[in-house]
Amino acid sequence: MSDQTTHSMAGTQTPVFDSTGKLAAILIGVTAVVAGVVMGTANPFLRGAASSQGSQIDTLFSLFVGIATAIFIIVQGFLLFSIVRFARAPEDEGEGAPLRGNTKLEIFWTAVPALIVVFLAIYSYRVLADIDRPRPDQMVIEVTGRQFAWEFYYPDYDIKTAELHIPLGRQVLLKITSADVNHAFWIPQMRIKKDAMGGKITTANITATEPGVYPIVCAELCGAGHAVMRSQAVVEAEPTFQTWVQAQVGAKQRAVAAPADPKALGRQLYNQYGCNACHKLADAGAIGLVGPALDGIGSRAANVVPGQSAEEYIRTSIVKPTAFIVPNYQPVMPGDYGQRMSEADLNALVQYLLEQK
Amino acid sequence: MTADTVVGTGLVRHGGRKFSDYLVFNTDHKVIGIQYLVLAFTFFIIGGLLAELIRAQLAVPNNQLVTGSQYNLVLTLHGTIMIFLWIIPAFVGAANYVVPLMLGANDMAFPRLNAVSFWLLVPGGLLMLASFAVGGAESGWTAYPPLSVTTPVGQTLWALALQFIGFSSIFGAINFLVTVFNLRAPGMSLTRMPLLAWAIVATSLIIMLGTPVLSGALLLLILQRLLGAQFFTPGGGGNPLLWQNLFWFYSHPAVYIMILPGFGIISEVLPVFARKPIFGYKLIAFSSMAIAVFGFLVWAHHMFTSGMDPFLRVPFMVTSMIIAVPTGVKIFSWLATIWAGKLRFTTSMMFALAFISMFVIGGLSGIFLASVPIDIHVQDTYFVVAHLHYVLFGGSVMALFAGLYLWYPKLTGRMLDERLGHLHFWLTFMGFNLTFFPQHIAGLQGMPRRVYTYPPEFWALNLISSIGAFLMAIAVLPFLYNALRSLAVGKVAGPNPWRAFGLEWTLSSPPPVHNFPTPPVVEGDPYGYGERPVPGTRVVPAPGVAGGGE
Repeated sequence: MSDQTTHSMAGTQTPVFDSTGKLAAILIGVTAVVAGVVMGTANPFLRGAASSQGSQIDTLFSLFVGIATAIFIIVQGFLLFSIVRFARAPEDEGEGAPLRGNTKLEIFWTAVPALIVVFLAIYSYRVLADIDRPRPDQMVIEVTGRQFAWEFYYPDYDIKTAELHIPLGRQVLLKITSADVNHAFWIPQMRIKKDAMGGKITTANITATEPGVYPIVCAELCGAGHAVMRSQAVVEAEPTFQTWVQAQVGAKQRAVAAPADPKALGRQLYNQYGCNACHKLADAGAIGLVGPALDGIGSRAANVVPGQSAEEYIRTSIVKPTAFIVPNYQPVMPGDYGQRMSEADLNALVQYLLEQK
Repeated sequence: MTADTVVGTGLVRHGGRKFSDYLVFNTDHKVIGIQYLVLAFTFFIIGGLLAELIRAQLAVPNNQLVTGSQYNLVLTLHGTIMIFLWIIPAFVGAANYVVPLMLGANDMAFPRLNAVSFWLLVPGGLLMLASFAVGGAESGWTAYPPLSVTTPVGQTLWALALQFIGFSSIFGAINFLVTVFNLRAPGMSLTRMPLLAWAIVATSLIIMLGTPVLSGALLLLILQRLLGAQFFTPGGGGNPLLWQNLFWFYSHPAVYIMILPGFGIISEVLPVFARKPIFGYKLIAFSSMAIAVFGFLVWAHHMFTSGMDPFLRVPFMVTSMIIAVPTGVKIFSWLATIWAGKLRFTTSMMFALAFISMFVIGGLSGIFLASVPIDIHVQDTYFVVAHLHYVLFGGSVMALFAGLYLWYPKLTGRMLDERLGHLHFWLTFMGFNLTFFPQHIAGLQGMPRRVYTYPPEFWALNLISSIGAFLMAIAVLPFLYNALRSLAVGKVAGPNPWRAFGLEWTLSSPPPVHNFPTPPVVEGDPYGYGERPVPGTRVVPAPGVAGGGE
């Protein structure tokens, strides 16, 4: 037992809080404050929001970055200092200072973080209350997610589109729902995200502050095509927006007025069944990027699958999309068009696509 | 030792004398601990290979390696396996082996129930693999309906697998609670218990209150899938939010099931290699209990962007932020524990120090996520992926390795090679940060999680991630080689190679079949470094390694 005692008690006692330790503590503290202020001010991670709500979130985020940086430096600083300063000397079989605790210190590092998080919670609440506040002139847009496309309906103008247009500076109230599984509507540059759920309408306010074109992303896993469930938001000045609205209204009236014109009928069906959400087609004004573009499909269709005529290929691709997958695309098209479309609609759509030369 | 002559034979055995003792229903907590650890590590390899497949697919945009639905299957199985078949059972295995020894007990309170817990995990794991083979579990480990109702048959097998695993977990929790409260050696008051035992108490309470809710939710899901019940579909009067509430009522506390034992292990490792008592014992123990309570009051922060009542988000935001406080207390206590110590940088210590460093990053990003306005932007993005891996890998897995390197000599009687250990550590540490740090930025800039492809602007960040993931895979090889090779040729450990306090170190390595031939006497908590001599042990090292130490 005696050799055990000498074994474990030998060696010099490590100083607990000498001048080196104090200097290190001061340096770590100062560095933490400076780095916190610099990082909080610069915030290189999240900048340039394109909506008023987004700018408020970015400001809040900057504050979090500042505080997180300071805490990060304090913890890593003390850790690294201890690793260097308190490394055991070779052959030193002694023990460290037997410190069991320090009530004041423990109260300090319980209370200070508690105060910090309470402050952050209150500040977060104020930002939340403000970004949720409706403005009087807001415009309603109904958003529907379905596997794997977004659809936008403007009740003020009775138009339905596959890409979102919003006027600059005017608050938009999005009423979001889903036609099938859960999705989440997200415009990263506007910092706005809300789940789309069947049988439920969720809401979100956005006020765009920068003109431009921004991706719309699905953020909730919704099936095989989740990654490509994308659209875009076009932010434009009020006059440009109104011109766009009139063009949509006009296109719709032409389509309704002349259903006998096979081409107009085809265009209408193309957009009505949501083909436009995924397949680019200039004639129908469609800009979808998920599936292959259908410009000129009429001239190509006969040469895709050996033994299939152009008409057979197009028809099969609509009612049984997995029969042939165009290289570099994924099998994500819904397989239920055969049930959803009437025979007449299907024939009209196939004829319309055959005419795309 | 006469007790050893009455151990079972055939398919019901007690003690691990030969290899086949580990393949059958065995009631020795040490055998069961090793059974858990080996099974869990096997699933770590499987889950890791799935992760490598994910990173291979995402190494470049528009990659055609797997299809969208195959990708969803892979990410679902990766998440489910890592959580339910690696981290949780690996901690159970480690605790199963060491906690009874630390308490001075001869076994768990209910040895047969203990074996049942382990053997429920086997069909659970097999069903999970079957669900992968069949395909269909493509809705993420969170399995939100209606998607998880429409997916093919593999989703049902997935849910059944989780039922087995859940019951395994509940039985284990009961066993640990009864063991800790009834089988402590004379003199071991609650405040003389090792902090790992406190952590296991907190974890077991969470499991007992939370896991039955998951079992119930899974039952509803199975009923809806098999019998057409409508619990979660709006058309039939159900509500998709019901699942989210039930699921997260379990699954947020489950995060603490996966980290509290890690906290406990870190509190055991640091004093040994800093040669100092743990700093602030009572506050650390109390904070584990506080986390167990507060952990049940934060679940809706996973639903801030769902259709939940907008105002209810505020109280959940407050609780989610406050839970950072007990966690912070532990971090500061550990920093004070190594302060003015005499640090030995063994592999175990390296993993423990890395745990502090990495877990802080995961904790800080957690505070961002708790703030509703920030969460609106980052929810369901790669920022969350980065956060959860800093907590679960940077935290839980680092702690598991710290514990494995600490107790391997106790389990096997042999030392691990420290140079291979350091190689394992540095590859893991570098690979981990390369993989997951860039994901914070990808998420903030607009990359959602669970996508099989992404726009080209995210290519650089994803390529760095994929390179890091490759390093992490390489890192496992020196560990595996080390762990297997040392069984045969490692230096003989002796009872107490680290000169550590703790009753487990007073026994031979590996310990005798019935642990303590005479009840140990407990004079203080196991952190008396510098205050009293480490008790000398007169136990002669075991003659053969596999033969045990009778």
